[in-house]
Amino acid sequence: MNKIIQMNFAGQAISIDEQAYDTLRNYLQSLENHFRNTSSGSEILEDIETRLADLFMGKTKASNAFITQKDVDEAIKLMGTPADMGIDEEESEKSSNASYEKLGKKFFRDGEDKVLGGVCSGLGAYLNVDVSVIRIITILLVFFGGLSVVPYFILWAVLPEAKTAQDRFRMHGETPNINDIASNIRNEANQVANNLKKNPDVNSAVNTIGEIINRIVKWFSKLFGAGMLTILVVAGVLLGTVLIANATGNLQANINGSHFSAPQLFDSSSLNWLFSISLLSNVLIPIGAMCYAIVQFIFNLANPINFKAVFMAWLFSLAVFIGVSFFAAKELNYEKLYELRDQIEEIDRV
Amino acid sequence: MNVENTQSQMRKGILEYCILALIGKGEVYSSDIISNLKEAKLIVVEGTLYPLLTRLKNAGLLNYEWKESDQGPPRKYYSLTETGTIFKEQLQTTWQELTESVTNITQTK
Repeated sequence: MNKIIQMNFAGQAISIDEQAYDTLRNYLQSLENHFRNTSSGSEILEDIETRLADLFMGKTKASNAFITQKDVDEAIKLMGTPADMGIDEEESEKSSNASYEKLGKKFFRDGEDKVLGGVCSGLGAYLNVDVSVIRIITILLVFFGGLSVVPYFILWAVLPEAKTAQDRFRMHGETPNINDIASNIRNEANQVANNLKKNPDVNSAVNTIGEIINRIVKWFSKLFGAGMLTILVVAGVLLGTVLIANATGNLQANINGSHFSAPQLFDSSSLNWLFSISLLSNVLIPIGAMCYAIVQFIFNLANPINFKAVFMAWLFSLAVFIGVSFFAAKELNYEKLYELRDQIEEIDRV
Repeated sequence: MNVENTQSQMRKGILEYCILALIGKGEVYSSDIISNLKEAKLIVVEGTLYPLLTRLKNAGLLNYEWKESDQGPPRKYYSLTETGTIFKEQLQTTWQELTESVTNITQTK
């Protein structure tokens, strides 16, 4: 017993037996892989699909109500395997080789071998050094004043993850061998097939009025985004000034004629710095991420940063801030705080 | 060095000329081209043709037109462009010269 599937194939409604459907899908996938590097490969695929649909329609009109495995096998035999379609072989081989050579080695994050974000394994692949060595150095550097922490989070946020087979080969900088890629491609092919399955008939017709409304809404949200961006930047700069001033001890102002000099919270200057910077990054990281997202949205940029990495960086700075606060609570300079309170009261009186 | 390889190279060489010649006779559907080429043993499977047609079309030698079909999806009917006609004529000359000289060379005296 076999299920019958109703499919939209090259714009035609065709009933097909489940097993035959799977065969057909695999066949089309192999063609897609074959023409991947050929210019106008999608057009060739379209032509082939149209022709197959034509053949199938002939079958369903003539005798069977649906397409069977035998029909698909016959059609594939008539159409030929990807290897038979080697007319453009030289051209596509040349171009694919050239593109691999031209692409060369690239710095990726390795998502398949990661502890946090795969930065170390990516760096190892890039430098041809064993990952463990990189990891040990990274961890040692954390204890040398946290030297590796900030670069790590920045790399995590900025570096792309090696996702496709091609990415992974570029990450290792090897010239890919067709047999090596084959297995990788098979995995990718399955993913693509799943995506296709989820989305079998996308209606590409665009409703004009809907489109116009869509655009207006988009423009307004972009304007709103620009406003938000301004507010966020101003708030960030103000807060930054105050906290840096706490660190350097240089915040002075004249408010309503009375002189205002902000005292430092702690006696120890390194504590002032740590406190200010950790608090500042606690606030600035989310603000920065929001600004970045807004800019991406306004200018339609297609390279989103890795928010997971940003979030981890934020958690880290939060942990540092909490740690510093606990340690610093007993170091608080109460005298100076009272001084600050007196100053503020004086300003209030005036 | 095997004979099949050389044979297929020979066929490949004249395939484009044959396609252009077939289309030059008037608007044709790709499966018409295919049945002709199959008869002449120039191609074995249909799939070989589609990449070639696309390439010739991208090179500006072919045009196509969609025509409704009574059984299935609309079909592409191909015709030669002006460039395509000139191209075909040039190939024709070459082919004629080639057959003559090849006949001369291979002739037993």
